[in-house]
Amino acid sequence: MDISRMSNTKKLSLCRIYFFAGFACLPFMWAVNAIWFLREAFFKPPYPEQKQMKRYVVISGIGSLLWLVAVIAWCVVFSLKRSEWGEVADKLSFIIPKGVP
Amino acid sequence: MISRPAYILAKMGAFVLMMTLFVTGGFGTRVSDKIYEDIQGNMACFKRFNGTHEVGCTSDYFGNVGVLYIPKDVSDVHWAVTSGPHDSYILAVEPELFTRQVLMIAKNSSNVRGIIVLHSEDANIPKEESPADTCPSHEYGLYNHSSSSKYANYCPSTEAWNAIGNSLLFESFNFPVFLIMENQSITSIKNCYEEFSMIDSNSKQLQDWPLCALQLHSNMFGTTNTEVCLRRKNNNVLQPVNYCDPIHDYNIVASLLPMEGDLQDSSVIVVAARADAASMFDNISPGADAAVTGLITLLAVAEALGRQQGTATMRKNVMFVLFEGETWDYLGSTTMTYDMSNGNFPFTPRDETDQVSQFNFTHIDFFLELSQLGIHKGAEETLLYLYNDPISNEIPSLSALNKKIYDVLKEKSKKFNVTVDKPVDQNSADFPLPPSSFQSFLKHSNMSGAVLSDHAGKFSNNYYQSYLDDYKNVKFFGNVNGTYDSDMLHIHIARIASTVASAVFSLAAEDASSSSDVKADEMLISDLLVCFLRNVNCTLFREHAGRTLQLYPGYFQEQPAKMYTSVYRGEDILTNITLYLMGHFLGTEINEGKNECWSNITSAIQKFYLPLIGENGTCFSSTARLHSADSPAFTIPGYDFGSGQYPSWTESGWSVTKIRLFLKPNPAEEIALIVSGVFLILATGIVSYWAHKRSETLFVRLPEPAFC
Repeated sequence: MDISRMSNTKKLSLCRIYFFAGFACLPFMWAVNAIWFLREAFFKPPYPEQKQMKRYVVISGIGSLLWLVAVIAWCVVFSLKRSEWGEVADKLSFIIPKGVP
Repeated sequence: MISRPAYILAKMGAFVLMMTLFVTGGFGTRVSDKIYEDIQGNMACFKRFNGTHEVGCTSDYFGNVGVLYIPKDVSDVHWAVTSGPHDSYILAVEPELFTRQVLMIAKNSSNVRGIIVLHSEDANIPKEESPADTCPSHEYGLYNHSSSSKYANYCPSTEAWNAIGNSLLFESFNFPVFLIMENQSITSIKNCYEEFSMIDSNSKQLQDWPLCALQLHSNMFGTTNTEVCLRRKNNNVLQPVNYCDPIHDYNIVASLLPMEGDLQDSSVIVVAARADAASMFDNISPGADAAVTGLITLLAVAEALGRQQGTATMRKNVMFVLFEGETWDYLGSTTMTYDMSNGNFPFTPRDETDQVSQFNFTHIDFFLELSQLGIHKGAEETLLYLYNDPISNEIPSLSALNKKIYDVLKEKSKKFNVTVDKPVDQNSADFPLPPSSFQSFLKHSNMSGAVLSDHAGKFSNNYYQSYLDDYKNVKFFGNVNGTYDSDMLHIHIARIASTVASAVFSLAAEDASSSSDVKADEMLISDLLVCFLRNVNCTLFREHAGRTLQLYPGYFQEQPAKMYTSVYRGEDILTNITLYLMGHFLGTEINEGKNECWSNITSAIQKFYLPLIGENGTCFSSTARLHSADSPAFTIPGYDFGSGQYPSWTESGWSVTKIRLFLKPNPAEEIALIVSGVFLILATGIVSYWAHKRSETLFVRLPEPAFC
């Protein structure tokens, strides 16, 4: 899809869909939203829908960053504590490495 | 557009490359084969787990690499660990240096990455080497620490049964340990070492690079303990991984007379022996004294008594039992006694038409265990030592029976040149029982019984549970071709078997005075000894292999029997052969063909067909049956593995064990080589790009050829 050919109201509505879809634990929606509409919201000649668009883009960006931090933190903690957590960690694992406690 | 000369060049290049690939791929050797030499005939130390610990050895996922170092003595090992200039060593030691001291120095070092034991045919064998504990399976025995008996700490404080035991079997190493017994492999390793590594035989130092190096690969899948690895095995649905398997095999049970209806109390004499031994290494567990001699004595007794069927009315039945997995905290006897106390022995009751008598402790008259019996002094006479349990011996009725058995054995022994003695310890008191399956029975119920062995006090076996407990340890000189002229062991075993058979027969027969002596078959014993200790591909084993001969042809090679218990569907061929031997000795031939024989088998009637016995094969019907040694730890739902109540040993899974020998260049050279390789690739890319961009000016453009 080429958003440059869309009307400004269409752009805003698309941005809004991505923003609200992201709340369904879909951080990639937010990430895409933030990157995709960044130029549109901040670096294009002003038009009325931009104000609302800026809010969506900023919140999506912050949301996806928070997700990123949370996921990395979980990965690190899980890797470090896996053997300590015993049965719980084994149940959370799809693939358990061979020969590692 | 590519210019013509460039195109031709490219085409020629492609052709040369294709040709090179074709030639090397079709007729040449792989680069890895030119670099590495695979060391054949290696036997790896592997991991095992119990409820709380892991023991054994493992390599890293891609194997451990180190510079080969052959220490001459312990001081050389110290030098390598403290001041050796290389980052990592693989120590290659002679059997005499394979001691706890050396292994512990290696374990606590940061630069020993693995150990191989070079055991050539002419190697000096250490005077003693036992990787078992000083008090084998003590915590699962009758006199464990939590028992209230005054014998709780008898071993080791008064007498350590296996005083030389170094417990290496129960030590955990995070590096691989291998045993190599193939002379050619040992020669390759030593030649490489002498050519490239050794300065001279007096120097501890090694030469300058390149040096001989080894890669040891024996990565174990399981870790931590039985609970963890079994849980992971069972949880892992997406990608099944063999983290570990319970150690498992089958006990063998057979009775002289069929057991039908309700048994009377004290109506069965049990003659038992253990059928397993172990070592630290995969594929080698000869257990000559630890298991084989007792096992063969039991088979010989069974055969001798089986011959007497019909000669006398029997007052008592005789049950022969071979326990599997006794090395692993009395797995076989623990499982059997657990099943007995739950009314599931010999099997869980089913419908009434297919039933044999339920058997439990009350039916046992007395329990006679044939323990280690192989260490002998030669032709003169055979010494046999008898042990009773001093705790149950305080009960008058039991001590009277114990005394009676001792007297009968003593009386019978005189006729066969055997001296039976009841040894006393340093305080002139009776010994408690040595490590024995009988202890598992006494944990459930007091009963009369004795353990017979070749040691008075501590073991006379210097290689208990070692790979060195082989035919040499029991001085067996019968050779593979079946000549026994110089051998004394089979006579020694025959004497014991005759004594035991005669004693048991006179105690079981109705008319004690009529019970003549029962002589064991010396030739059979020597055949059995050859089969177990030298060559499992012997006639006797082939005849009694039944279907396993076709199913596992690879098993039947000239090698000693492996007495290790292994895992479910692991190596139970020997168990089957032993079962058929027992069934043959005690059973009756019935006139049925192959298909008929294998059909109509019920739990009560055991039949098997041996195609190599008789003209067209023979069908046997017997009481000999298998009893699965599934530890209660694995059958009780939600069993607490930390409790230590039942044996819970598992064996780790692994995919490959191998050793590779190669020449390792200076690490700086290795780095330089890889850096220059990377540089070359980048440079070629840059040059190609540059040439492509300037192809118009670099190459002369030929006119397009005209159409014909």
